[in-house]
Amino acid sequence: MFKKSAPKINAPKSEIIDTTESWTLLFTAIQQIFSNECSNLSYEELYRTAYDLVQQRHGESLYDNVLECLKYRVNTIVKRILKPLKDGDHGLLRDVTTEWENYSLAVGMISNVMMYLNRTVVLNNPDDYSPISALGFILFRENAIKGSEVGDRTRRQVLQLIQKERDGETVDKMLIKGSVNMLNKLSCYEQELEGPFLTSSSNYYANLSQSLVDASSVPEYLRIVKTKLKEEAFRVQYYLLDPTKQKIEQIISEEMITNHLGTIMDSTSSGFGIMLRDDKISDLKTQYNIFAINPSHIKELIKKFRSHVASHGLSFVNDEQITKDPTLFIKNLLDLKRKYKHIVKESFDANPLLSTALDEAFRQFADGTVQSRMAEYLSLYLDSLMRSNEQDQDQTLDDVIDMFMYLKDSDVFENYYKTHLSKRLLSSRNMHQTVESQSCTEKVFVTKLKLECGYQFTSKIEGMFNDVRLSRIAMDQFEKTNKSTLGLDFYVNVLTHSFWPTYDPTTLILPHQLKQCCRAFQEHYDSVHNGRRITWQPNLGDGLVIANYPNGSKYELLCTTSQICILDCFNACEANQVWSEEELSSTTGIPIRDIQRQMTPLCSSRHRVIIKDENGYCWNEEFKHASTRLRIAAISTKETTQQVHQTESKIEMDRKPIIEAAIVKIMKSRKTMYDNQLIESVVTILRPTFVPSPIEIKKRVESLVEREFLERDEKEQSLFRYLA
Amino acid sequence: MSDEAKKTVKLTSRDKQVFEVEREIIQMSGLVRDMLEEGDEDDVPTIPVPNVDSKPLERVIEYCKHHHKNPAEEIEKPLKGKIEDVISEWDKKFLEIEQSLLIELIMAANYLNIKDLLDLTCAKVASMMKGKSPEQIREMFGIENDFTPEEEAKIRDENRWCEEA
Repeated sequence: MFKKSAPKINAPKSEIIDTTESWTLLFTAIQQIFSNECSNLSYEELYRTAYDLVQQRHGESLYDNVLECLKYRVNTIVKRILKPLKDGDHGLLRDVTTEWENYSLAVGMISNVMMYLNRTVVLNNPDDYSPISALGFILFRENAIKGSEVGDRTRRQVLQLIQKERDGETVDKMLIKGSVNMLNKLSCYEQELEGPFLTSSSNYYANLSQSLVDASSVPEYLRIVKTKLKEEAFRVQYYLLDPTKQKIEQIISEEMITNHLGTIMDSTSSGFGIMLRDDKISDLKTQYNIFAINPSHIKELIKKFRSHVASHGLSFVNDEQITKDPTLFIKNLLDLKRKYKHIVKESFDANPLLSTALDEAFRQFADGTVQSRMAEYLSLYLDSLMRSNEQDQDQTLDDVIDMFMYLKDSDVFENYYKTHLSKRLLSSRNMHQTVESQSCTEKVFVTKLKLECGYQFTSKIEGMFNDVRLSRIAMDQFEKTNKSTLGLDFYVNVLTHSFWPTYDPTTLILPHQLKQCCRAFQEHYDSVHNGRRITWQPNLGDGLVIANYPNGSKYELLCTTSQICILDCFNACEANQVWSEEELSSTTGIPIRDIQRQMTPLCSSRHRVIIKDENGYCWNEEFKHASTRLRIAAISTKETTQQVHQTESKIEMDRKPIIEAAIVKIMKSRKTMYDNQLIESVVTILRPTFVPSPIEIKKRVESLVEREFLERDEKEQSLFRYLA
Repeated sequence: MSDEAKKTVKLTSRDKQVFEVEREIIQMSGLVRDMLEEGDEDDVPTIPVPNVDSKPLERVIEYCKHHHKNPAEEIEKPLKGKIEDVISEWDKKFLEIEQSLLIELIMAANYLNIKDLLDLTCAKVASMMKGKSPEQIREMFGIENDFTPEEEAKIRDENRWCEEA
């Protein structure tokens, strides 16, 4: 049994070095590095010397010695800088930056030489020992910058230079940049320079704005603010650090805008409202860009914009003069919208918050509450647009749709639109032109409506167009078989009852010839479509009559069918026969009040075909006119107050079943509900079409309870239940 | 371009032997890297390494030649199991040397600042120490026992839990 001896490892014996000698070597080298005379030094030798010292457990004292060297050096530098000055404090900055740059380089080199310290002493005690390069910077910061006057005087000098530059002088930017870089490297830029810079800037801009705001108009003032912002941005770019940019912007925004926000927004001579009124696009843009720095400024801008547009709109809509002419009224309203839309796009960078504010403002005066005839006027405007037959109306139609979308009660517009549309579609002008070209604009509008409101809204309207198209086809067929027998150009539009507006049944009595035509058509139609019921509404039509005069002149008069029936009365009598209204009424079957309406255009000074006096109506034998073809038929005009009331009650009637349908739909799915919840839900469902009043909803609920669709709960009065 | 690759560095050992190595290879040494920054680009610099004998220096250069394009995997610390299990075949063979040379390699790697080689060699020594008693380790390294009996007893006491595990 033998014990294998454990392997022996012997530590290598290195030479014990002389610490004093080593340290002297290093110390001398450090001094040479500081005085920039290090070309003869051997890096390897110095490194090795330091290494050996650390190996022999003198690492900590080596570190301390190096620290002392650095400290001593910093103090020497400080003394040198603070010696009596050469050319004012200007020299100071130059000295500081030069000293710093040399010191910084030297520290770098010393750090390299002492690299082994970093891997050993520093690594093992990171709390007590910093790497040599960091140590060098810390010493400079604490002893030179903070611990002596150097820091203060550097800062003073820099701020003075900046002030000079603000006052218009040229300064040495590189000098300032050197100081800034130094402070940045020493991690004390914010504390030593940026903070004081911002404070002094704050005072500067406070004073500046105070002196400017009274002496300049708002646009001028804003332009100056813009210039100042630019100046400061350049300043930061040239010789400060990037994070300062946002901070100085905030200061300018605070001192020049926040403190004078009231003046900027409310000045009656040149403030925000005035700029909006006068379309000062670029001034507003300047303002917007400046305001964008501070979100609360933008908020204020939005608020003021909204209220400005609303009050402008309200005063516009309430102006009696303007609302006299509906077409002009709407046109001006659209121009108003375009004006502000343009401002939002060009000055406010199409910011969606401002578009929303614009819509909100418009809803305050253009939704039909303030101006109750908005829907009707809009439809009249559209009517005149369609009749004008201009091409390229796309943008205008979009604008009309925009205005339509503001209306609270879209069913009112729908009603007027259909009424006016039907007149347009049924007029004989339509017959003579190809349905395609003239109604192209019409169809474009319907498509846009469909996009905004959905298929449901426009399905009936499309049905109207379809009826017109089918009637064309039907007439072609009819003409093939019947042309020769009638002796007149005769046209019938067959309308599907549910698509078109409701028409009161007519009592119009047609002249014999026309009656024959109708009869012939009826026969033809019955033969083609078995089982359909036709109701004749000749009062909706119009036609062309030829008036022959004793002096040989002939005139073509485009009149409504009713007017034609009235004129026909004058055919079958003496030339000077006077017809009273009652007589005309009983012969033609037209109610008396309508007689007046139909006769007015015929008796007007423009074309006095018929003479009216206190006795009645008489044929004007001596009628003359420049053109041979005259349009007598009335075009759509705005309704009389009486008619408006009629339309209103009609719409009320139409709404009743819609409300009831909504109530039933809700109750069917929920089974039971409290009345206030029910009212809320009904309003939500119907909002796209119209906003029903709670009273009306309650009435409908009562009606449904009576008809036993719903029942009231026995115990709770306000609880309702659905009855299957 | 080919010049770049051919750039060399001369290392002089304690016993005045000169080794010429490609720059690329010897850049594994942190010390050499730093020194080259300080000096000229064009010359072939001579770096005196008087702490290191030619034998270990040669080995160091061998290690660098093998590993400069092919770095070793990090050895997990603390060392689990035997070192032979966690190093490559080449490294295993590399470490089949006398213990005195091993120690010299450690010193050289430390001085020249070659982390991977330092880790490798120290791991080998650690593995050699593993499971040995203090007496055995003292004998291995020729370390004198400079504890007083009281101190020694105290330390043994404090660390009894290790032995019992």
